[in-house]
Amino acid sequence: MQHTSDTILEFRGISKDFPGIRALNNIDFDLKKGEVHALIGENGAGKSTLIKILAGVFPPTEGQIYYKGEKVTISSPKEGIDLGISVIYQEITLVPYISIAKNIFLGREPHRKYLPFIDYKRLYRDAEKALQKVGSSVDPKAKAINLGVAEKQLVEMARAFSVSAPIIVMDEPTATLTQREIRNLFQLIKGFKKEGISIIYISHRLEEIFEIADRITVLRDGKIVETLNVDEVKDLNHIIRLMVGRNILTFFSRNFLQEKGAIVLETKNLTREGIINDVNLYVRSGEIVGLAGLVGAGRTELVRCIFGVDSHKDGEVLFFGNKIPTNPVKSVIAGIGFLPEDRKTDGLAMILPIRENILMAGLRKIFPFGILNGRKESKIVNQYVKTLRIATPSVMRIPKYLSGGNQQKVIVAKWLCTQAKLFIFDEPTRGIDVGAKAEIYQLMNELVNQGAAILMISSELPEVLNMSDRIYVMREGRIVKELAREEANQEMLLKYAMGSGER
Amino acid sequence: MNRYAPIIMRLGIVLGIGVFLTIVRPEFLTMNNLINVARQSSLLFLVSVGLTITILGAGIDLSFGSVLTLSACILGTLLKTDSFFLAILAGLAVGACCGFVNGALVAFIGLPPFMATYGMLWIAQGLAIMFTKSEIIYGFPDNFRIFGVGYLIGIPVPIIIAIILFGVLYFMLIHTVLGRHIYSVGANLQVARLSGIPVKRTQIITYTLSGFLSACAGIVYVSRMNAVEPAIGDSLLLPALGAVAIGGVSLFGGEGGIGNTFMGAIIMSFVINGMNLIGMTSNWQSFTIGAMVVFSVLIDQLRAEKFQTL
Amino acid sequence: MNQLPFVKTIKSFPSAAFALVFLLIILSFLSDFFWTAENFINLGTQASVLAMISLGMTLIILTEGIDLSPGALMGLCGVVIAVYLHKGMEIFGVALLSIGIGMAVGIVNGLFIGKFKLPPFVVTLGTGGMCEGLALVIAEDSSISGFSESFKFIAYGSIFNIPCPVIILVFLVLFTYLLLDHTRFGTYIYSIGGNEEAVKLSGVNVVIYKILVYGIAGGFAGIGALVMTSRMTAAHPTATIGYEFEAIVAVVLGGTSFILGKGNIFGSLIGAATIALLRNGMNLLGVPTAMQLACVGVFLMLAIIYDSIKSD
Repeated sequence: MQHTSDTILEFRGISKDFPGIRALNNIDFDLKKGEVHALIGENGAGKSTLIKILAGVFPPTEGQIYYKGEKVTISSPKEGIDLGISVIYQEITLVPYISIAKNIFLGREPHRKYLPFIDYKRLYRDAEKALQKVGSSVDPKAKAINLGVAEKQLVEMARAFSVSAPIIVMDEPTATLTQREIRNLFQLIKGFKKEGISIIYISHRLEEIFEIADRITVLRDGKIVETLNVDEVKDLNHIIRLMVGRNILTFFSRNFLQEKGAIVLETKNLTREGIINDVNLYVRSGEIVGLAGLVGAGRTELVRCIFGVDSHKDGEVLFFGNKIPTNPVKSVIAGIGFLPEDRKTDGLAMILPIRENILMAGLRKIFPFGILNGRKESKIVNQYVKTLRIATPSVMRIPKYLSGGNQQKVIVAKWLCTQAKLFIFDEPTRGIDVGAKAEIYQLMNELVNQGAAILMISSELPEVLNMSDRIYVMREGRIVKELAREEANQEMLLKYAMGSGER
Repeated sequence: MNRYAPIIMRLGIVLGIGVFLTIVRPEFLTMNNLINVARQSSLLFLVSVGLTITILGAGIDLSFGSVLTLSACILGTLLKTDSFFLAILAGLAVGACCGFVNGALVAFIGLPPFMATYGMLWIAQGLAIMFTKSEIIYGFPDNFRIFGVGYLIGIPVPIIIAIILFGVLYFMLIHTVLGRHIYSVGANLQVARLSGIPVKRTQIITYTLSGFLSACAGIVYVSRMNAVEPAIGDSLLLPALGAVAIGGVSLFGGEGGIGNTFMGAIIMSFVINGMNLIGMTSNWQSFTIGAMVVFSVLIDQLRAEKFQTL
Repeated sequence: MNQLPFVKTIKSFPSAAFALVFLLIILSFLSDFFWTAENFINLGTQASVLAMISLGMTLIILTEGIDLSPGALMGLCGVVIAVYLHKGMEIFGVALLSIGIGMAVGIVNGLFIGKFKLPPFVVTLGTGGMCEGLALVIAEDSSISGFSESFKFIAYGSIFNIPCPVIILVFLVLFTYLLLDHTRFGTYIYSIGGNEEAVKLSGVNVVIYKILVYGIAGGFAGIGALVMTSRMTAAHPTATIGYEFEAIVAVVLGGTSFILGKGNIFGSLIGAATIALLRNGMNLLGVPTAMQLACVGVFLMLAIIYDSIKSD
């Protein structure tokens, strides 16, 4: 890594730990003045953790940050902004009912010399200047609520520009833009470069990266794989291999059933306006079907439609051949269980004891007359705690202190209580250490061997390949490929997920 | 985390206050006074149960005082026409209806509970006054008076009713599926929904029940005072909130139970009794009750925040 | 879809405006007494006080909060005014005292809500109860009357033929308008309601602004108490309990939303006028107070439901 006078930002030895997991491991990263530096990696590789550290959302566990050659600590978002680091997140943070100009200068409104009033003339003038610079033609006096996504993004860029931020971070900027808007954006970025502004560009779209970036850093499992100049990249596969080349899972292997059972779940032309489009898939009893794809491909949205949390516009969901009305109450009664991605906020009620969490979904089936029986409850709960080996001194404790793996086991137990026939896992082993991962895999294996069906969303390619009987790859709301496990490998999955070569 | 720890702690507080009061004002410990306090506690408890259930479900029912008043007014009016059972039925039905409307507003329209029930508070109040034309109704038949002033095996009936309600609601909350659903919805609505719990239905039942229970409390009140006037429910809101909050039921839902409210009602009644014995005017008492509500909510929040950062 | 400019302007009026015009027309038919000068002076004073409280309430609701204490607070301030008037304090001093107490209670509210993040309805319910209790204690359960003639000037006097209360209101409106539309403070108030995260990410100290908002509303309640007490030439500790209810309805009718960070004070003023008109009309028609409030309650429900449906 060269440190030249050109270098505006440097991460040295940055590591970040979360309970049970090391999200970033000894990162050395540098950013030159006036360069576009792309950051690529799979989901969970550590990109957003890196950016959050830069933005001041949380501090690194180890390592130092150097800004313009000097060591700095960024302990709050405000400090990040003051330093000159402007982050444009995927979720736009604009205030809907105030003017665009005010949004641009939120927190920094210009005011008159001796009075506490806003100097509107200067406000609108400066806003107009910033908007022009980014090529936006919106009226600075208009309220932010009526803007389209692309326009909102431009406003954010105008804000970054107005702060004269020497560093701008863009997280998936082109995800929701049309071709023409992307062209405009790239023009803008080139203009910024000329002014000496540095840009960290996070994206999955490799062709775009080749077009706009000067250097590329590949992250994998929290480590930097390589940083190279764009012209050093031989071809698409070169990059993909860098992103993916890791050991296949050796610590667990499934026993796959030869004979699969009946079709448990089937979707036909499932569509939700703008989110998922014409999805057809099926899952049989005795098999695990993997859903691969990038973040934002629509996988979680798809299963939420299947489970009934979100409504779909078109298409049907068939369960054991019968069309089911999609709402969670009916889905659970029918025998579908949903294990959400975010265990702590969507999967477990943290203030209720483990016991209540386990019984939550199944009470109506276990006690059809509505009257509970403490002894029966305890028996069922203890039985699952034992068979799933949930490590807790007492079931009356709250789940907060359980490890990620044990929390997931509690949620599995919850659905076992409902005698579910279909389990939908959204990122089953996220945030779980290796030892517990094996246990969860073992659990999943047993479930399907006993006749259940599993639909599994996973962003960990080795996991997908190791565990799935069949794999669907999703991209931009559609299923782009169906593969049997024998046919698939990591590069292939990533390629279909990123859509390289198909634009 | 022991579910009963907060209740035991409050039992300690009750004993502590009792000892303190006995030292300061020995007349506290007389049979007469104690029965008085017991009766006060049960009345306060009766009024607070509906509120407890809505709070457990992470909602609130600010209208219970007015609903109590409204159903009491209808009850009283019908009693004067000598239709005992019709009167009671009508009173309960009115309470349940108001509760149902609250529930529908929260579940189907999605109004924030405090807003929906705040509006209902005024509407029910207005309806009550309209119904009675602002007049006081008094003089009810003897067989009705048993609810308020009668004795059953030597114990005042209100206390018996409180005990029965306690038992019934305890059973409902702890030993039925509905009760668990209420707790689940209160603890984390999204998790409850994703677990297949019928959230809207649970909410409607919760509020309807609250209205119904307010009407029950109304029956006891009317019977006790042998009169109905539209101002009954005015001063109930804060003491009931106080009983619930001090008892340890979390305003954010999912934590606590009937036992907590019971303890809270006792603590409140002890404090009020103490204030009476010391000779504090009722206005200072209002002030103190208001302050107690604010501080117990504060303590609840600080405890919750500490929990988050652990 | 291009709408005629005329249609667009009409659509932007809050529903309160239509209600107002409607009421004006109806009431002139229903009651002979309505269009008299005396009635309008009466109405004007009542509406002014309601408008003052509504101004403060608008600010609070814009930050997604609520305040259930102004009614009791006005009672407390009124009683304190009366006591000190009797002790011989001047009007100016009494005014400062009233505003000061109002702001103090408001800041206490703001502290609990902004800093400790307690639910606003419980906190303000509690502080309202405390104010009510205090007011009754100070007034010893009765009302205090017998003020000097000079004090009556606040409510009954006029400068250049404009009634004093209206002048006071105009100043408050000016103050609030400048605050909301021409200062950073105002921008932040709108932003906290619209997207609190965005404001925090911009480094703004949200807590301070929440505290100040409740403080300002409390101060307005203090001013309202001045006018109210002067008008009744007596301080009734509990006469204004529940006043906040009408203010809340006025604000919601006026188009301010609980959740969106949208709204403006002129809508609230129209809303206040509408509610005051409604009450005035029902008074003239002999409708009992309770039924009036029940009607207002129905108005509130309808307005909120409409608001909810509109924002879906």
